[in-house]
Amino acid sequence: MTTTTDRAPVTQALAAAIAAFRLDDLPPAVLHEAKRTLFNVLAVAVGANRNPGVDIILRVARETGGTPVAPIVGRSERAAPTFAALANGFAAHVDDYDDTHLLTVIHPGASIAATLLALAPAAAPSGQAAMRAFVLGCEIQLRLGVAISPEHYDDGWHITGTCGVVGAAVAAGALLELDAPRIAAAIGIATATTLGQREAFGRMAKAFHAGKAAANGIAAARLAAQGLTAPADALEATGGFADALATSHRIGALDVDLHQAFELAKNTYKPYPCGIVAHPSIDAAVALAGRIGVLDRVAEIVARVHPLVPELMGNATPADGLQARFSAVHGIAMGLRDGRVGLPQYADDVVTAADVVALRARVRLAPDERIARDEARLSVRLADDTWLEEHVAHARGSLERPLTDKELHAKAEGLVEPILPGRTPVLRTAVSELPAAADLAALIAAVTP
Amino acid sequence: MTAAAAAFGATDAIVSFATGGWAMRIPIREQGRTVLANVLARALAGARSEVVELALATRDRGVPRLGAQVLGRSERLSAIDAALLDGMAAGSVASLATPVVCAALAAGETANTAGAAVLDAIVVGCEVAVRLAASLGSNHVERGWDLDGTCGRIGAAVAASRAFALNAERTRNALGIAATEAGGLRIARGTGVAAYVRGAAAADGVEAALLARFGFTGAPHAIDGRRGLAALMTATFVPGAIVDGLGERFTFTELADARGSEGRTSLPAVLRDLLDRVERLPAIGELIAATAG
Repeated sequence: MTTTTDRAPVTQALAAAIAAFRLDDLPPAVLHEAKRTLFNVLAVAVGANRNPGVDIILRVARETGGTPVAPIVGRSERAAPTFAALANGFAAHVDDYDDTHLLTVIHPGASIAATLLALAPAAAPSGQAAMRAFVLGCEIQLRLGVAISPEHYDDGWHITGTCGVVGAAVAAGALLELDAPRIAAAIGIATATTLGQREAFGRMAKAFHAGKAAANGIAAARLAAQGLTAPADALEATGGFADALATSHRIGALDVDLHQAFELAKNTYKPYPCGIVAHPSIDAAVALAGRIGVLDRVAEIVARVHPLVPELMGNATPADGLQARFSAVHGIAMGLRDGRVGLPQYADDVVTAADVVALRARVRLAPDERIARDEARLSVRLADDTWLEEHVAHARGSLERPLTDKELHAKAEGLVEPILPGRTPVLRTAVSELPAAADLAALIAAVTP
Repeated sequence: MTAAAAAFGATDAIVSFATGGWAMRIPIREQGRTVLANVLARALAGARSEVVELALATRDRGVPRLGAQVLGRSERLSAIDAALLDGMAAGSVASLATPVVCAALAAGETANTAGAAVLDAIVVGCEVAVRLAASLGSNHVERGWDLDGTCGRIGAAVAASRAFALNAERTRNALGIAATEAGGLRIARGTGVAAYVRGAAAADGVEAALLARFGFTGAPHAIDGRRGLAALMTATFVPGAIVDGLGERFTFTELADARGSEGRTSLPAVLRDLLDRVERLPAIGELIAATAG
């Protein structure tokens, strides 16, 4: 094992802080954000429950066996914990509608909610213990992400998978009530199974990252509980987690104090089910929709955007709903056409409809270094050569303009009600009252038929 | 990069090779048999090791349909979990062959694959793993990655895909799923995690092939894509090391040469006999059943 004397012993210090963390110490505002995160991500998972990828994961679960004890969001069947983790984490992320920590681009909720549901039958946590595990799992992956950002994501890694594995191990370790040395071991084991390359974007494997992060994190915590030995300095060692996954990083400066300055407080929620960098330009398109009138009048649409938009969302000719999630021009076209952008705007038949294809072809992305990441300027030239303009300084759902609780509830309704009618307020109450609940029964009942 | 590599990418070449109907020459088959014998011998020696016992305690014991027997033991688990435990049992030393062979055996047993096809799967998986390791070069290891968890995982997925007789499209998806899971750190050597790196690589190979078998999709150019395995995990990628002569010249024999025939001689007579005629076994399960302890 490599020992490193010139780097702070982050792995051990973090494990000690995790073991000592009390939910009662969490500032109320952070607890509220944790609840918003859990509410949002479970609603998103319900909305995605009919995705073909979920069907495939459950098929493999049925074929390969295991005792089907863990709940699958939005469905009546259950699965062995590993496959429940895969299915729920996948569903929570596949629509690209889950929460986002903007600084790191981590979607922390998916893998941790999946960890919670998968381990619920075996660990039988109280509501308090479950919420504590959820907070820890989200917070630790975000802090790790901060230590390796922006290099890690820029290098091409899908940070939701890589950091999610460690976060899930922490959450699972908390649910299994591991002591500090075993939490450290769980983190060390988890670093052996990081995953997530951005090459997978646009394929089922992308959302698989979130599900597999949960499954690998659970496996790591269970192995640690049994006594598997791991490197003591896995995060900070020379050739460890941070070195391998980022060309440069600040892992030694990772803040291990779990009493203040929570990254989870900066979590945000997507108003649109697509890559977040396109959101400001979609905001602008939605705002312009009412002013355009007949779409035939639109000759040309120019979106001045941050350079990351074409880099991450540059697909100009998406062939299906999954590809459209990485197409900024699709989101803009739908905002202009429908005045709203939700899951229906990403249905496969909508993406390939002739009028949508034609409208998309008229949208041009103009990357501009002076435009901020949550900003966009949309210009629409009409047939008579008049120009309509819309400037969005901060996207809806950004830190400067967070979704209100009411907006979040409305988003959840759009996802939950078509699948589980009447359940949105039930889910909201179950999440809100989770810290006082005896167990997870009410939460699970809210998201299953 | 050679002209061939430029026109025909590394991922394309692997998929073509993995699903191709190339003729297995006898010397190559013998090398495959040696690799199989070596991994089998290590798995049997480690079947009751501490890491296997504690990993078994974490696994789901529900009766699986697509199950496989743990090598050297009586337990039957899912093919994925059997590959995990076999890989951990055999994972006391570094070897790209460990994830490949354990994935091929578990997938082959569960799919009732003939011995000859499993031997083919082992040869294909080992060849891909060894060539990928060569192509990633020194920087890959310098960054901290463990070859068994990166290249071994890819070889395991290729071997499992071959054992399941997946077509080219599905093999490409399995490769994509496994590639995005490439990982495992060398710092784990000397701890229990080292064996877990090898076992998880085998298990993920089987899982990737199973997911792909039922239609799950991965990146189509997972090895040499712009944000793919090579781009993210090394600065010294040489695609020609994969592409040049693939299917004509076999380089995995270095895995066999390293240990010679010591694996075979350590096995009981009944297993030696089955190994000697493994290419004639109607189902690989016969060999695996004979390891039961």
